[in-house]
Amino acid sequence: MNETGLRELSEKLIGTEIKAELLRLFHMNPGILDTVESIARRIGRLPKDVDPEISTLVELGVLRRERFGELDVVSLNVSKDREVQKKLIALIEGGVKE
Amino acid sequence: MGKDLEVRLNPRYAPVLSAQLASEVELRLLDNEKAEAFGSFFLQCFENTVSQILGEGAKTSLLECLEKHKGLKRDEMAIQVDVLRRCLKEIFGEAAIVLERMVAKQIYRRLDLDTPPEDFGVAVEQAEQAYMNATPNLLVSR
Repeated sequence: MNETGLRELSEKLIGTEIKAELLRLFHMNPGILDTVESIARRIGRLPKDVDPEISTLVELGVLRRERFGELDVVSLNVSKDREVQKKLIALIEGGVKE
Repeated sequence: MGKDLEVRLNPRYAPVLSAQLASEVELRLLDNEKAEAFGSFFLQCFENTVSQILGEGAKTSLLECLEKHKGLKRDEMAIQVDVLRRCLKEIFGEAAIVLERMVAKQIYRRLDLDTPPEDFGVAVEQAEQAYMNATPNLLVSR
């Protein structure tokens, strides 16, 4: 198993409870397209706490931020999310070297 | 002859003793069944949490990895929480704590309990106790 790669990816993906809650929210509702404030409300957190965690997941590519008129909205990047999941599976199974 | 010994030896008391014994045996069987039921409940919460957060594929790979490489069978997770924790730490590093926390929260939410304690082992122990006390006997399949 490529432990370093797996741990790094795990840390980026679910290094905090908020990130894990965001992933669960978007995986269970892949069609969500919402503002940071609404997403924070959905998971019962404060926008100021959720915003930086969303940024990390956007950097990783799992989530995307887009501008819709006056609003900044966040959604799941389904294809990238699948890619990351595949990478995670491969790392757990020990087939991928970073 | 002491009263206790008389009770034990006198056939007059046999039906009473048998009923008491049967009731004790039945209670122990029920406890075992409840413990098994908690094991299934724990596994269900663990699997749900992992698949909801990391995806169904990652959940399957993780369970296979735990069984194949770490020797931890699915139906033993609830009784080998320390082993499970060690394995998760080996696999996910510090992020394992987040997974544990999310699993504990799901267990507590489903059992209608308050916030779980920080320590996952303690949280599971308390949840099992609550489950054993709360599950009506009739709900345990016989």
